[in-house]
Formats: sequence, C-alpha cells, structure tokens
Amino acid sequence: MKKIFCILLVAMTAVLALFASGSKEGEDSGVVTIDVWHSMEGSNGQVMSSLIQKFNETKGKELGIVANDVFQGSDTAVKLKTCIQTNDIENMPDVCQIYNASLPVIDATNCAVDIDSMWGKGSASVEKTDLIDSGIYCYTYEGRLLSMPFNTSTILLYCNLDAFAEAGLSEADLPRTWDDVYEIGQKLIKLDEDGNVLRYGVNWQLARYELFDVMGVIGENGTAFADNNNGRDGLVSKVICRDEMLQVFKMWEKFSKVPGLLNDSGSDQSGNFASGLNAMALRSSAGIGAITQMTDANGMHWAAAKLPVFNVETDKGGAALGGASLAMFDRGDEAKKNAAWEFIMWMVSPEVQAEWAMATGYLPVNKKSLELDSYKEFVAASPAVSVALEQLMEALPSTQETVMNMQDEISGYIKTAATDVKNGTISAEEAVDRIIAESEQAFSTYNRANQ
Amino acid sequence: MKTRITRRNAFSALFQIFCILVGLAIMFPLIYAFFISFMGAEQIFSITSGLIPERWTTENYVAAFATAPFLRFMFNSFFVSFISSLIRILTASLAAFAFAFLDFPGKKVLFYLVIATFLIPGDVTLAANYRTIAGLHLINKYSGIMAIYLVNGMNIFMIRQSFKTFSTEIRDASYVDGCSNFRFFWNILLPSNYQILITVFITSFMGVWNSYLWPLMVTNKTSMRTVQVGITMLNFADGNPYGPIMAASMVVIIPSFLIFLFFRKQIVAGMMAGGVKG
Repeated sequence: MKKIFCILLVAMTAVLALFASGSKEGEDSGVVTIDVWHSMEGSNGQVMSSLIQKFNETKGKELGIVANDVFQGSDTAVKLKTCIQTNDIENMPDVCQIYNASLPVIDATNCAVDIDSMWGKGSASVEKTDLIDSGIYCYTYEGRLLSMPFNTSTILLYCNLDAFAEAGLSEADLPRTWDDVYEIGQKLIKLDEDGNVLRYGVNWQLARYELFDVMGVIGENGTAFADNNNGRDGLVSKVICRDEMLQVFKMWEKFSKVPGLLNDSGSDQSGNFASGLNAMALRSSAGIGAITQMTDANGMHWAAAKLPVFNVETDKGGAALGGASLAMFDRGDEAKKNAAWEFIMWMVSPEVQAEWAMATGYLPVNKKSLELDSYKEFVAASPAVSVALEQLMEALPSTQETVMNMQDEISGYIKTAATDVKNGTISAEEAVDRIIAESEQAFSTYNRANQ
Repeated sequence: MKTRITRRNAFSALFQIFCILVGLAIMFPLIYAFFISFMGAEQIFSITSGLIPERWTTENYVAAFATAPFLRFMFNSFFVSFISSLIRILTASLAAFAFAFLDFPGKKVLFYLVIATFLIPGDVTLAANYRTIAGLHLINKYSGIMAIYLVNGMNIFMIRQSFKTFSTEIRDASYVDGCSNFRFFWNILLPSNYQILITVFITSFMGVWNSYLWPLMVTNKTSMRTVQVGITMLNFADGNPYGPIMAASMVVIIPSFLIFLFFRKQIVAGMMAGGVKG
C-alpha cells in the first residue's frame, strides 16, 4: 500500500510541477513567428505542410518570418469559434483556413483583419484584380472581403467512357442536361440475372453541396437558396427558391423510379467511380487527382463533363465555388500582422497557386497562374482540369453557396428528404416543403441566439 | 432424467452458439478493420474485395507512421490518461469516503450536486473550460489537457456505492481500536475495495484515451497532440486513406485492449460490487 501511496504522491508532484511551469516561450530576436491553422488532411495536408516549409525556407527566411504549421482537422472552425467566443487572443492563430460558413463568426470578432485594408502593404505583388471574381465574391461579407480565397473547386460530372463505349456512346455524347443524364444513365446500368446492380447509371448524392450547385445554375442569374444575398449581406432567415428546388427534386424523383439508375451514396465517390461501380458521378473537381491516380492504375478511360443544367438556353448561373480561404487575425502585434499578410500574399502568388493546384487538384485562385508554362502543361495533360477551369471562369460570380453557420444541419435535412423521396415515402413537393420549414426553423433558432 | 440432461446440454450448446454469434457480430467491425489494415490498396478498392487480404502487407502501417508521429502521440495519450486516472482515483475515493462515512452539514446537497454533474453534457462546458485553461496559460501543456479529467462525479458515485457496502462492524471496531479516519481509509477501506478502484481506473483510462475534442482544443502543436487527434490527420475524403487509418486505429486500440484483457474479471466484479446497494 505504501508503494501505491508513493506512486500517487510522485504523480501528484509531477502534475503540480507541470501546472507550475506556465512560462511563455521566448522568441528569437528579429524573427517573427506566426501560427497558421489549416484543415487539410491526408495528401493535401502533406502538400500544405511542404508549402509552409517552403515559405519558411524562401520568402520567410528573407523577411525573418517563421510560419508554424498547425493542423486542426475538421474541427478548425469549432476551435476558431471557441477562441473568438472566449476572446482568447493569446492562442488565436495569425492565419486560419476557413470555409465560407465561418464568415459571420469572423465578422463578429474585431480581431479579424479586413483583407481590403491590406492590399499594397509589405512586399506583396498580388493585386485584388489578379484573383478570380467568384473567389472574391465568395468571401465578401456585408461588403467587406473578410478572407483571402485560397483553395477552390467546382462540381463536375465524371463519366466512365468504357461504359459509354459498351452502350455505343462516345465522348461526344457527354450529357449537358439532366434529361441527358437520365437517358444516358439508363443505357449504362448493368444488372445481373437476379436483378442485382453491377453498375449504377449515376452516383448523385443530394445533400447541401450538391443541391446548391444543381439548383444554383437555374435561371439567367442563377438561384440563391436563401435571402440576404444568400447570407452575404447578413444572417439568412428565409428560403427563397421553392420552385427551383422543386424542379431538382422532381428530377430526383424521376431518377429514383428507375431501378439501378441512381446511387445516392456519398461515401468514397472517387473510389466507387474509378472501380466502375458508378458509370457517372457528380462530385467536386477536388477528386480529379485521386480519380486520375486510380484510373491510371486500372486503365479505365473517363472524361469530366460540366455540371448538367435543366435548360441549356435559360440556365446561366454556372456552378458555385467550393473550397476555402485564408483569414488573418490581429493579435495586437503589428509585426505578426504584417508577417501574416506576407504569408498570405505568398500563398496566393501565381507560382505557389500553380504548385498547390498541380499537387492537390484544386484550381488556382490567381488568374496569372494560368499563364505559367508549368501549369499550362499540366492542364494540357489533364482534360478534366481544363473542363473544371472553363466552368469556373464561366460561372457568374454571384452564384455561390449560402453562407450559414448551421450548414451541417441544413445538409442533414436535405439528405434525409432526398432519401425519403428516393424510397418513395414522400413526394417531391412534400420534401421541398419540409426542407423549407426545417431550414427556416434552424435559421430562426440560430438568429435568436446570434443577433 | 437423462432426457432432461440432454435437453439442458442441447440448450446450453445452442445458447453458447448464440453467444458466439452475437460476439462475432459485435467484433466484426474490429476484425474487418484488422484485415483492412493488412490489405493492399488495390484490394481495398475493388468492388469484389473479400474479407481477408489476398496479399498481406505492412505498407499501411508504414504509411500511417510516416504521415504523423504516432509514437509521440501515443506517449502523450498514455501519459495524460495514466496520470489523470490515478489522480481521479484519489480524488474520487476521498470524496466517496466523506459521502459514505462522515456526517457533516450539507452532505446531501453536496452529494446531489455531484450527481447533477452527470446531467451536464461536456459540450456545454467546453467554452467555459477553455476560457479557464487559456486564462491559466495552460494551452499546449499536459496539465491543460488533464485539468478537466482530474475529478469525475460518476467515479465518486461509483466508489461511494462500493464503500456503502462495507461492513459497519469493521469500521466501528477500527475506531474503537483508535484508528484515525485517514488510516481507516488508507489501510482498510481502499485495499478491501480494490476492485472498484480498478474499475474506475480502467473506465477513466479508456475515457481519457478516447477523448478527442478537448485535447484538440487545448493543443496547437503537433508534438502535444494525442492519438485520437492524430488519426484525423490521415483522413482524406478525396483519397484512399482506409488502409493507413485502419492501421493507425489498430495501433491505437492496443493499450485499451491490453488493459481490458488483463483486468476484465475485475471490471465485471467491480460493476457488480458498485451496483448492489443504494
């Protein structure tokens, strides 16, 4: 028993010692350290880390800046929000990768730095006009650019050309409208003798991301999901797209009725397309890299088509921008603030954006990247990337995802309703009305707590 | 008579088969994860992939350890879980002793307050806890990670319930012999209630080992991360990370698995001991 007591005593002392050692770390004189939080996982995370490393070795070394690479994972937004809520300036990042859903949170803190107040400062050479318009629009909240677009993507319809060939079709027959997808998809279905699906016509998950894109193209000016300029002029309170959403859900209902046409699974979409389970797949251009890698291994031929529309003549919205951005924070230290700006400027410079895009499959936010020889070669070798770029440039800047902090809840409502329609338990009309009711309820709950 | 025995045997056999099947069903995800961790990427991908690897390989383990410093993460997790569980036993058993044996004003109210802490979900206290820990400059420190795990109402309750079953005759006898409260607690009560202490230690260890959000919130350096945070570094929606993730998960499971293996009798006995008397 004495032994245990001794162990406990030692443990207690050790912990007390740890508590006592609350000293701050010293910084080398002349070197400014900044914390960079990001949420890039897997191979993209490795690329992100190597870029930060490269910054430290090149531009950072020149200017006396060291950027700390801090991976915060899928809970980056939660962590940032906690820091902001508790006003914990000491532990706030200097630069943080954020999605557009976090814009209202960034707007609510006075630590965030307006990107517009920084142009032209430091040794920066990138100008606002160098960046793609939809990127600027995406992260502009209540008229202020709160965050620098950094990694962007757009949604594509990936098509298995081997399956097309089996059905007597070729790359010239890539679908342009949802009616085309419906017709072609049926020709691509493969069933065994017992009616089990060997190959689905199309892999289309209908959740927040997909709905906003599929619906966003509709009409001359595109379609917004919610009011207040889709959440960019203030908090959203109403869903304003009943007719357009119904159009999508009617199409979804039509697809659901054909056995084997629709696979609505959202898991491992790249893998399930590359393995041939789904003849077509609607998913982000961020999947190009993985799909290329996998199909190089198994020899499958494929092509990417632009996001299908409902009516080629009238649907001009284009696809919404996906991806994330870099926000910067003022922690009361001018040197750190300037260093954070230098870092962001380096990250969106044409060369770095091209390097980032080639290594990850994202699209560059800097238009000048497209003029670099290395990137031109890359695009020439990857037709899917050029389709994605073309689509990105064609889209109206105002076609954007909705800015809303409760986006996961909304995504859940949409997904559940889509599943219910697919299973035939509710009609398209019921689904749309339910989504609107549930979403507006979630908006008002959030707004009550965050006005 | 004979038929009754045969029938009983048959029933017993059936019951055991049923138990084995249920056990397998519960174990299945783990078994599958184990096989995936040794499977080549090409097999994980193919639609027709079977359960058992066609080509046994350790490349997933190599990839997992190359992506993130898992040994460091495991040390961090182990240190935090072990020390905070030890302290938790100490705080919980001392509090339980007071609740079980001492009489003082406000005892009931205090005890109900302890019970009430069960009802508060961790998420609610997250921001407040964070504010406190950040205010104490304990971000990126082991003590900051451990701080919220040092006292637990459920553990106090469990140990108190166990103490309540302790024979009052022995306690009275020791008092008559001049034994002090602390001596009685330390030399008599704790050794005879070791089962519940082990149970508390194990549940606490596993709980802290598996925690994710809090260690993520209070650490900003890779060298201070715990295993559960580390695993998310391998996750990648656009790639094929299943092999390395399963490999890392297998490694991460080992400590919990070993502890359960060595102490499983005590866990069950401890649960019984704590659950009898109210």
